[in-house]
Amino acid sequence: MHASTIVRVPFCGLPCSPLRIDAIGAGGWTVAGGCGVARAAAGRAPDRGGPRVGGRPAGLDAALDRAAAILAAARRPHVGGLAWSTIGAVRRAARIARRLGATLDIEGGSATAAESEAIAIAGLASATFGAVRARADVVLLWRCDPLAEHPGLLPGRLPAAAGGGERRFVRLGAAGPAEPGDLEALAALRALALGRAPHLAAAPPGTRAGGLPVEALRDAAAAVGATRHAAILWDAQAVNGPTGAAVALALALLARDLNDARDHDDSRRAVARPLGGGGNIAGALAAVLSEVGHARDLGPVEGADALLLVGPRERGTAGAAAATPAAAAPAVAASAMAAPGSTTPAPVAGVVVIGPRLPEGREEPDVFLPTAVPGLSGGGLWMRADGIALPVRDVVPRTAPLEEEILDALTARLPDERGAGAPR
Amino acid sequence: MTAAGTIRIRGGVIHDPRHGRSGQVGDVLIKDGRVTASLAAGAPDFDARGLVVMPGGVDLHSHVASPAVREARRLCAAAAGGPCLPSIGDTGRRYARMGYTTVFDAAVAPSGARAAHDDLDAMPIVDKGLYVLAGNHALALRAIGDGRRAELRAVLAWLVRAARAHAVKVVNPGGVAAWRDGAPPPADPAALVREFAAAVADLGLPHPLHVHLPGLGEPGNAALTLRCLAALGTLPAHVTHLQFHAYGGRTMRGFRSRAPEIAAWLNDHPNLTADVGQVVFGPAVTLSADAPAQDRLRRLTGRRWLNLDVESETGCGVVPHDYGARSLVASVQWAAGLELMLLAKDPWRIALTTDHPNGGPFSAYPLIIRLLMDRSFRDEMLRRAHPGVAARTALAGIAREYTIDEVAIVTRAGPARILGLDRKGHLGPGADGDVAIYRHDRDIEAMFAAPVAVFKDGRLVARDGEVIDAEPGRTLFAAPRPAPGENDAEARRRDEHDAVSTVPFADLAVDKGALARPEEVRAW
Repeated sequence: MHASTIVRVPFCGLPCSPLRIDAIGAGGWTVAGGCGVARAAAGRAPDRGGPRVGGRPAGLDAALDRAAAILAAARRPHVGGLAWSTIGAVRRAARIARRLGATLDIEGGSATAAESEAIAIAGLASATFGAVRARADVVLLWRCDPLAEHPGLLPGRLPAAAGGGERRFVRLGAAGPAEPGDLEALAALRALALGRAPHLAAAPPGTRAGGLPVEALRDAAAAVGATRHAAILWDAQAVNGPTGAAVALALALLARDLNDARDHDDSRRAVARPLGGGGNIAGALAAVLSEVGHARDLGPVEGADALLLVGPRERGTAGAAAATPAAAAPAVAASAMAAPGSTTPAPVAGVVVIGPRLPEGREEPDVFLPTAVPGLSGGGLWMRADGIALPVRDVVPRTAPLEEEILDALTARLPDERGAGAPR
Repeated sequence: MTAAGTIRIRGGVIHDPRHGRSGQVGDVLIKDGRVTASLAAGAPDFDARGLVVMPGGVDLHSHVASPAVREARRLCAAAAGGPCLPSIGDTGRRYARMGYTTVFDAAVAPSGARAAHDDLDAMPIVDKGLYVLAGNHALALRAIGDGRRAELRAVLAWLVRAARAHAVKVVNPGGVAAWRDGAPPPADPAALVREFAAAVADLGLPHPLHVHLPGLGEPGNAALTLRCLAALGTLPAHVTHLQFHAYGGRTMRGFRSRAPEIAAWLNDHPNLTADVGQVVFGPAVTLSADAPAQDRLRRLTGRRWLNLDVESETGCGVVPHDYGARSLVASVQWAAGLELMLLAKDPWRIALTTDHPNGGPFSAYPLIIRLLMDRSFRDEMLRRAHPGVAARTALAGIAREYTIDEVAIVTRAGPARILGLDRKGHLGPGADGDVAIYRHDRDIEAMFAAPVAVFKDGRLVARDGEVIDAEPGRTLFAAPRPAPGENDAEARRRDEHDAVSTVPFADLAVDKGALARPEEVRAW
């Protein structure tokens, strides 16, 4: 490794500023630049020890044998984590899930699930980040502010090709979790933008809809309704929780209806762009879709009697995995690891963790197999939230195997696929 | 490294059109994965007596691995995992079970190439590759607009190398970018088609420009199709899913086929090749870089729509669809495809495709083969179609039935030649040991749906419709012929790219080392 390395790693799922990684000797490094998510992701040291079985050091083969035995004996295995692994590792994990007949989940993937549900119901008029940057003259930021840490993502002036004028940003709702009134506010916004809410258009100052001032909604509606290219952005936090899918649907419908309202006027467009939940959630979903063919089998951990967790994150620190600093999505699969005081729904006979480090504050799993850190000491493929895959490279010395290598070795120890067809 | 097999396929009835073998009984010898003229005694033996032996099938236009497929799986959750949108593993297995051993994804944006290759690497058994989308790329259109033909050539060469592509694909050139930007469509789309065809011809690629013409699916688009084909002059080009561009009528009410005129043009112009994009009655998933065409379709059908503007490269639209046999439009589309296949005099210049999954799933190929080989079955199906189709197409009057040799041409020998793949589509010495073995059956569809055996690189990979060996195949990509000075403007190209894309210039290029089993195809 060079003393100082500049890399662009899409740890946050967005086109991020470069990270500077400086070696500080003895395998350590410091991180500067990038965004808070990227710095947090790159700055955490991997586990320095070797494989462990029952908390005790073990040889790699012995640990793999024990992991395979746990998974092969399980009746309801579950494979989770995956959000901070490379696409190659997720493919392997998905194949293991198929082989075991295991349920599969992506940690922190609730935002993606909400978006997927909205897409399946209403479709989505969308664009990659570059397309938004090149054309959107009005950008509606729904409960998010990616610009705070990604000033280069959407410069304030449009490119010359798009007219070169000022780009307008409209912020609605404080960055943070979804609130109960969000659906009402979005319904009002949509009605205003489509000219279907005369009572709101004429509402007196101080009136609120779903907790947001009607004046702000009116202003936003006028902006997105009148412009040539509108972009509507939101992040994982904004579609988190029980109403997440409905909020994602409302945002998708807003873009759809703006496009429909412009029938026969192809000079005007609206796109909606979920910013995702950071990490490689988009890549994990892409790999699962490719390997399984659909997302219908993505399911929660409840009821599992054995867990294989690949690259799990600390519970409560998954905010570091979100696209914007405040967008903390809950860790799903890791929640099943029996932390003291947690309410794990069913006893888990065995837990196998493969990843750079064991999540802090968690009980020692039955088997821990340490790996390189994807994007730092291990290369591979990562996907931005807009679906563009980029390479991540090893820029610091590797002291542990890649996740892919461990998963291959584990696969070789597992029995053939159970039954026929897709995983349960 | 892909394992290669050695096998003597003994006593089969060989249909190898490239070498003029039309049902002669003989052996096919494969050594270390390649067809050979001789084989030592004692080599493993496969008894093919009484069985039909053909080269492995080659699908030159399918959508199996691009980011658009990923988006389709999200939009069409009910269809995902089924015949139109199988998993990547099932895609390879389904092709192999049918006797196909090579498939190309026909539309991948430059920024999507890395993800598409990752998918293709995960596809078992078959050899594969992709075409890079260039017809709406900002740098290519700028070069054309400025009259800088050398720069256009250089941009296309760069894109082919960066994407590790086998060919250049243009989709409604200029039209998608205009729609995306809210601008009027190009005034002279035929001229744009010609510019791209000329530049690609100069690249020395194995496959000429792969062109999806403007006007896809629109009533009366045959006139524009003929204008574009005329603009090509004698330039080589492959016109894809020609069926979708062969319509008459001014509105949907007047929708009819003009496939006979299009087929006549194809017959008279040996510089052109085509694939059909046959429609199959039943559910489909339409996905295309032709975003404005997809926007038209969703407005017409009222169905859900997923659109993705991709950087300053291209568009992408997905709309679920259903080709109902009782629909006049679907019936005309179905008949027009068959007309094209049956009226094209030279089977070497027209390939069987469904533009999977746009016209229907590739697993419908055996059904289409039956339609081509069996007029009585075709007539029976015609009777089940919308009654208006008889007056709007010429299909009822076409008596031609494909021979088994012609089937071998339109499904393997021809596509391989069109793609410039010298080792595919034939069984002569040096060919890849890709062989499909079928049992004669009065039910032609059943015969082609489940070969007795399929060999890939000499390894038995499927038996009686079941996959028994799923080792991945190779990724085929082309090398453009270098041109003097083509790198002189790289710094400027880098700046122009970085101004319109959020993908760093250096990250766009897919390293050869990133592919699991790369194989360069060079035509110069």
